[in-house]
Amino acid sequence: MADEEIRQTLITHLVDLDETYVLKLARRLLDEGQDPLTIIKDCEYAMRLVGERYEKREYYLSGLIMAGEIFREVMMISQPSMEQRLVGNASGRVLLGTVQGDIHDIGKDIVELALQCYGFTVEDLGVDVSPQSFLERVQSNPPDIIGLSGLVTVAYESMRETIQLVRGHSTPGQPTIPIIVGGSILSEAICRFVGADFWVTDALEGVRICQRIVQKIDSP
Amino acid sequence: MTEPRKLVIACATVIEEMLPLPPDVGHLILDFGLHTDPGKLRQALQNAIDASSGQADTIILGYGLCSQGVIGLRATGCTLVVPRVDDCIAIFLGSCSAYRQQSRSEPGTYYLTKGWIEVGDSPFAEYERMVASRGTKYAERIIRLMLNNYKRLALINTGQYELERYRDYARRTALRFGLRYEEIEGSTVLVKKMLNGPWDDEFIVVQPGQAIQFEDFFPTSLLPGLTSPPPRA
Repeated sequence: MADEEIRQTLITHLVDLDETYVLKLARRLLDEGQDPLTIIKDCEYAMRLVGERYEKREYYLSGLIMAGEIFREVMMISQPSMEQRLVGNASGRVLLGTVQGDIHDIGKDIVELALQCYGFTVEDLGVDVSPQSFLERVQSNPPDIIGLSGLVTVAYESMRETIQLVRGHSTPGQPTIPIIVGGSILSEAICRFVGADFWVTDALEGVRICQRIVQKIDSP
Repeated sequence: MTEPRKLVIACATVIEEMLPLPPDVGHLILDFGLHTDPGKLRQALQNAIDASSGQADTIILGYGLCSQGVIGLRATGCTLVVPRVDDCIAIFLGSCSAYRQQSRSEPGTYYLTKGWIEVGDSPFAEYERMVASRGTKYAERIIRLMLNNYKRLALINTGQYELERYRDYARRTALRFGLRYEEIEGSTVLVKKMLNGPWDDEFIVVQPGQAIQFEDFFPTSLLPGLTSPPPRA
């Protein structure tokens, strides 16, 4: 099969939630030396198509979850190849967590893996993380970027509290640590309300924002 | 002087808690399944509002913010009233603050009500569908992911109906999926206020021609201890 055809096959089988086929094909492509980034980007595109099927109610929530699980597994098997390509190119440190009052972590875990695939060091504080816990970690081991995850509406106020607390304790003279909020129902209005610098609804967009932030830090 | 005409447009689960309505209040019920797609929910609500504008002076929406499904809605010929809550769970619990309290004390809670059980749109109902279509092993794997970090299954008792049948289902479901079963007291206070007023701080009242905005749900004046957001970096 031609490259384009293989890529389309991967996408189609992920959209059809054919886990066995997708993982087998991804392993084969990696063994053949294919760029793991291309595989991950194709999976991201397939995830968007799965999302559309969910919106059209062709899939239930379980379809979204299964697609996320396959995407996660593809990133797991892609990680060694990514690490080989990224040797000597440290990307930056991200402090990540699901904010207080929210326990959802599927999206956060996908973001964590995606960031690791792109060479970021991630410290994951888990779920239902209080503003104080974020602040303590920021103070003891300042990251380059803070990522706050949340799915339910309760998360908005927690994000806002966390951002206010962290910003309120920033060291004078030191650059402000950029804060990204992520979650499937976030929007510009929510980003404004919580006071974050960026907002994302998909994992790889989050990675791209982190890359832009780090590049900016590295090139004064 | 004639009484203002009211019309309720509500989600199938919320209307369960509102019925029977006073004879002079009309109602429209929208499909519960719309909650999975806020864009479609918004469109369905706007269509229902547009079709009903001439029939009422006030349209009461039996919704909350609902993944922002109500943002942007407007009525040209009447007033819109919507409870200032995250979603229907707050309506069943009687207030936004009661919901926040539950969420803060035990965030890993899956809430059930009569309406949610009857419309069959829960991970538990989905589990049964998955068993039928893809087998038990697959269904078990997905339900574990879906319920990851969930510890409690709470049946909200609003006192509106005979609970025994739903209690049995909720208890069995909790046991089956390793969740702690709890019954929590709901309230009809917010539902009654929706219908009869007063439409105070717990409600967003939007005048004809104006749109519901995200900021209406989180007015800075109602957030204790919080100041304006910091400037963007």
